[in-house]
Amino acid sequence: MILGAFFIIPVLSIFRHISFTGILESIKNDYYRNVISFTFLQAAVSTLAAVALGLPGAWIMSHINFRGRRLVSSITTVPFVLPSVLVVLGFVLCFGNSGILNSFIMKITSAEKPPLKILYSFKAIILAHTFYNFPIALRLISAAWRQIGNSRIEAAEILGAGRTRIFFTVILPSLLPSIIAAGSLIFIFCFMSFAVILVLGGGPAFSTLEVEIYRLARISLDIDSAASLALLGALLTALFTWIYIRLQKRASASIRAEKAHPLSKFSKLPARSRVFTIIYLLIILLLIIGPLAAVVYRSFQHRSGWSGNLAFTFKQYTDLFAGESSTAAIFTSVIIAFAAVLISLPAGFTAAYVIVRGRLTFSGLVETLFMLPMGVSAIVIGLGYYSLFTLLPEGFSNKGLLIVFAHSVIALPFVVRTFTTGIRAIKGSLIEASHTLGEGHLGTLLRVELPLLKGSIISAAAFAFCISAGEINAVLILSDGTTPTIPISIYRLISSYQFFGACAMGTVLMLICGIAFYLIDHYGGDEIF
Amino acid sequence: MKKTISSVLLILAVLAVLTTVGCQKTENGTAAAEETAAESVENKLIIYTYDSFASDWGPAGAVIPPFEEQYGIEVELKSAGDSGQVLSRVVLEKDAPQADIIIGIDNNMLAKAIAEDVLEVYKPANISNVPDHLIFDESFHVTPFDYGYFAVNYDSQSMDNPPASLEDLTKPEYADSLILMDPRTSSPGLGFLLWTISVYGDDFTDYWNRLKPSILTITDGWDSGYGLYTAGEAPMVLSYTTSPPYHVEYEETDRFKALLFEEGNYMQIEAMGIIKGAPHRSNAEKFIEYMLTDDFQEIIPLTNFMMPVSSKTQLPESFNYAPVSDTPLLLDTADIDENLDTWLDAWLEAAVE
Repeated sequence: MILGAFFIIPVLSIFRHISFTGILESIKNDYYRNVISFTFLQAAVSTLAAVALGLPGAWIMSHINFRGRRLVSSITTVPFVLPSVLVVLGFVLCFGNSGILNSFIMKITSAEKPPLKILYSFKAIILAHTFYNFPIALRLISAAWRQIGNSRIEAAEILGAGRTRIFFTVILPSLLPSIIAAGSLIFIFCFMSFAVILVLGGGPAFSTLEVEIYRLARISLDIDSAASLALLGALLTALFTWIYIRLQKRASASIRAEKAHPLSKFSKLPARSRVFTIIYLLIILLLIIGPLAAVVYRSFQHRSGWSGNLAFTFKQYTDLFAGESSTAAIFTSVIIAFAAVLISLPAGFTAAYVIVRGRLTFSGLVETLFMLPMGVSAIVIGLGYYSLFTLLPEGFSNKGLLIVFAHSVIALPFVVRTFTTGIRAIKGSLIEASHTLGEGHLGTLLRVELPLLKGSIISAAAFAFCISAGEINAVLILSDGTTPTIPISIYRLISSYQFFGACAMGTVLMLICGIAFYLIDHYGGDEIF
Repeated sequence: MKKTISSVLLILAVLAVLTTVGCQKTENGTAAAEETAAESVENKLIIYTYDSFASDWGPAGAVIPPFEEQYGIEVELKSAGDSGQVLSRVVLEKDAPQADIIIGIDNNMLAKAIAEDVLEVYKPANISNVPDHLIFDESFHVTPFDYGYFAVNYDSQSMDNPPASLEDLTKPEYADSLILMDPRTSSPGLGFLLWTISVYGDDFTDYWNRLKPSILTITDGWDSGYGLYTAGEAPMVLSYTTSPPYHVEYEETDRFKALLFEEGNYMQIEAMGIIKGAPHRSNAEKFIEYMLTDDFQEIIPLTNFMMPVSSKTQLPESFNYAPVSDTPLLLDTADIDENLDTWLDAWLEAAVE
């Protein structure tokens, strides 16, 4: 409830500015209608692409034990945490007209012009969104897949069902809730995206709702219209979420085993699966690690000589750590992120538990409300906080705790989504059995349900951590720019022309998240992910 | 279905109640804020500015502490995103001003700020340090502190025939060679749009149609655009005449150069002003005076990478690589305020087509 207040009050205080005629006008306006339908289209295609890429990965992660498995699982979540400006830079360094891929092909084929025109088009937007978001699909779906018992599949095999049939009749229905959960998160993420879309799409032909909100709030100073448009966006995301929740409930067949099935060793797999695994991992390597590696590579460069050519250096790192401020920023980021995990996990779990088990009359609506922090334009929430600040006593706004709360709220949609999916998948008969055996609600929760939710807990913690570590707007607003975190330092380095230093800071951020995910996975237990 | 409708109605009702309560709170809050403002300590100064000004690498670290020491005034510097967001914040706080000074209102935003009536008039004595052509606000709602010219920058290692004019940019030899910024989300982007309007007048959309083949991409902000350019993705980018000095000063290379165009280069003059109802008005005046002295002005070039407004200030050597336009372009601020939305719509139509 307190967490909710952190989101709802500022939003309300800015939504005072809206008028219903304003919303109606935005719907009537042809241009806005185009913007909205484009926003919807790119989000839908991106979601399909991210889920399609995540699905085979989820199979690998939930079935095969190979060297570096946990490393792969940690790395795939990293894109999520990087500020968009570095993602764009990494993408361009890899897939751009003079990027690594094109230069490589040009060298081999001695072509004059870059052969691959990947960027500055609709497909580049989809590619980048897939890069950003397929880890969500990978994590949520593989956690569910891991829980499908072998016994059901064996039973189907004995009954003579073929592999394809087993996939469509046994496996897919069990995975559907997690697929829908991942899809809804990815969809809203892409719905709100704008920097990636503008730059990689090639310009204003691909504008989303968020760009228009930006223009109204920033240039036209028409805060009323900005708030109206933001509310329209929020209503649309609420509508989508609600549809998703209906779908998910219908799909919620709780076919979960009592125990996760064992992983197979890579060397014992049939040749076909081995080839498939290797090819998939190579694609991931190119798509995910490519842009990340480009950012890391750039952090070890500087310009040397009057010609301004690039050379290898550790200079960016020594410069970065010469002063205290970078170390302080890293420390701040880590503390805030861990605190956000500690708050959002119990809060999100309680919310999810109540939504699923509480027999609420409006549970669908409550669940939709919990998704809203993702669906309201960041700039509008920011303005909401500013108009709220005028009501608060002086000095109240300068607290790290406020940032932690704000980050917990921003992470809640992910946490709640992950947990509701997990809790819904637990067999009702298990709980009844536990009750029959004399366990109370609490005992059942601790001894039966929580152990089964290990995978969800790990995913939720990883998401909460990286959402907080990568977040920038709330920190800027709540601290009035006095608390630099890693992402803020990245933006500040860039605005003073220090792109190489920003890449170094970005590398530090990736490293910290990688370590955090590794620890979360490690202490979460080897068996799950 | 019935359940759903009733639940929606319930939520709406709750929202309505909360909003009303919120509104009432605002009114009470205003009164409370005014009281605190009146009671506040005299030796304070609260400044709102854009984020890069306040950063470790920006001017703030070098100009604020000396001011605090010299005048015995404690400065609280608050940054809020970019300059557009800072102004929206001041507008939102109009009824209960929380700060004394806003840093970062430029010639393109001035009319909006004056129309919103959030600025106090103040004509500093030290304005005599500033040449007349930089005083873009003769009503002295704001005082300029630095300026620059928007300029197409090019990488001399990958291009040896740079364009000499806006018109040249449309030539087929420059296909896919230029990175611009969106005027809806970026101030250099807005500056370039106004540049084309000041040169082509009402025909600016025709120009944009001709320019389109030369544009590789239009980014959301200067950050991504300049990053792509220095990563070698395109040989030309929209930036400032004062961008090359960075590379000379800190990277010891002159490979990145800024171009002066035959039609002239559009100017950006950055200014600061006293916020209406400022709780520490006299301290704010002291800061504006201080800002025009050498102590402040000589920090500007190497931290903000802009030109200082004071004609007395010596420039660092690397600024020899910042060309100075003899045809500076500037649109009338009232004109901008009146037409900006129409221009943006027209631009968008041309750009999307």
